[in-house]
Amino acid sequence: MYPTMRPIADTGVLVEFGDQIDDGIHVQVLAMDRTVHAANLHGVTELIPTYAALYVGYDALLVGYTEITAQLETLLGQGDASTAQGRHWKIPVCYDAEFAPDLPELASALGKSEEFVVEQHTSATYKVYMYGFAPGYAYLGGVPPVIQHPRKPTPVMGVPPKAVMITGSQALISTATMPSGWWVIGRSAINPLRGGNDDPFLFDVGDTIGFERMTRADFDKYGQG
Amino acid sequence: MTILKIDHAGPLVTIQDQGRPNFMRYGVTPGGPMDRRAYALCHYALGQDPRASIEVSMGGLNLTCVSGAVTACVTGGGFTVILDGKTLPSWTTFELTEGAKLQIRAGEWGSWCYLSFAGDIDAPTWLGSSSTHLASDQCGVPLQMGDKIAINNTRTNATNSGELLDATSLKPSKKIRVTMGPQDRYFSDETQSALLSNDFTLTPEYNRQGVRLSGPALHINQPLDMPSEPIARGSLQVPGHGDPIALMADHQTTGGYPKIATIISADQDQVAQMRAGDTLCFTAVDVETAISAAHEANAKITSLRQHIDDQRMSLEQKLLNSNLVSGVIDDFNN
Repeated sequence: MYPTMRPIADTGVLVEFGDQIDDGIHVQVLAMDRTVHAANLHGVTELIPTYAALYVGYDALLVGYTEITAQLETLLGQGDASTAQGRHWKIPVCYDAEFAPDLPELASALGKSEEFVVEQHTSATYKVYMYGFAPGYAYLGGVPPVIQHPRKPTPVMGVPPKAVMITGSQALISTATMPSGWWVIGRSAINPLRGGNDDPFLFDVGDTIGFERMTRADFDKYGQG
Repeated sequence: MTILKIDHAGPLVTIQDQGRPNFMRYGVTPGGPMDRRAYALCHYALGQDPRASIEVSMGGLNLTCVSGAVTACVTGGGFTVILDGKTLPSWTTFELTEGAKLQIRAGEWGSWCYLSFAGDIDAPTWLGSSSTHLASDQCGVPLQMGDKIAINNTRTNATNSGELLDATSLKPSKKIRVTMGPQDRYFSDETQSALLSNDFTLTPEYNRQGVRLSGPALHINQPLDMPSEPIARGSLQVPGHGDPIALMADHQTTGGYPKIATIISADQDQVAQMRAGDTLCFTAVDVETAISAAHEANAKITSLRQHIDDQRMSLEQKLLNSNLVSGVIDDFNN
């Protein structure tokens, strides 16, 4: 059945590779994202990769639906999943109590020690699956099953930037002050949404990330304001 | 340089240019004008490429020109435009001179209008756009009383003043076209036909992100297990309450609620100019019809530009005639 292509009004084609969160599906999304980007098709305006689908935006005044889907059809399967490998980032995180307001409650809910949660959090490799919610909010998959826990029943207001959060299998580093129902367990030394006007996004979809523990002293010394 | 002081600004009065497309993959809403046609014609009437405008909501805007002078233009909907106590047409160009007071009020119809200037609004930019990014503090905040706005590279051309066109014919039609999907699989045939066979009313839950519609509830017929999917402008997203939300300029880039249908681009500006309490009815079309409609909408913009040119020509002709009478001929083309 998959992949399939569906029109979204006269502005986009949704290329679907599945209907669930699955790494094998996401690798195909990424490969297609890279392939379509490299093909530089006339009239294509925007590519949005998500867990299981790639949105290909186009300008209907420049290219027709039949034409664009025919071109995408030929590109399907041309993508090499191995070329979808992104860069790897090591992100220093301070798990000091002041930056980890939810660590005690999460550890207690899991029946584990806070130290265990931090060790597990820093042991895993995460992948950037997609962006959403707000600028620079990269959804990372790969939280070890032993520290997975559903989100809070009610979002908390005013979670600050650089908060390191987890919920279920997903992790996130916040980039701005926003409400969130995820568990805040540390503070990143780096904001993945950097200053500047041109390319302020640290991660691209497909990149991998590891978290490394940073002492409070080092955080105060090296962490960005 | 011309300086304007904001004496009153209703909610959601923002700076908007063409927005910041191409960053949706990084979670950045595209933004830009709610009514893209009116915005584009506003700058066309000023004889310049599209650039930052003030998007005025139904909350209205009052300002004073505290120094300098500049030609300005208002387009979009049927707003009430008052310059120094004198009511101007809704779509009009005029001169703002030192001390002039301008008031823009929600008029007979429309939710958004554009106030543009012959020159460049001095505004912060982010990702190549000055559009206010309401969801974050990355690029400006809505205009407020007391704000001062500087216009650089100003031009004045009094001969251009006057009505651009009678916008009555641009009032939104009740009939709005959609393509079904992309997540129509979550809705039964009965629910899909309920979308197409009933009127829906715009609720006051309306901002630049979208507008909640009320009508028969559109409930999903299977567990909601979809991963977050891309969102396009015009999507009719249906959260758990069953009311479709028509997503607009500041829509989020991804989301986990199913989209039953998508408003075609040719009709998106129409929906943006409707008001809370207005009703609409959806008609399903196929993608080829949607694309034909995009071409027709583009041709309509071309004809409206021609109309503006003709209007200006007749205005210049009138001035020319009166000047011939007085024996003075000016160069009206700058």
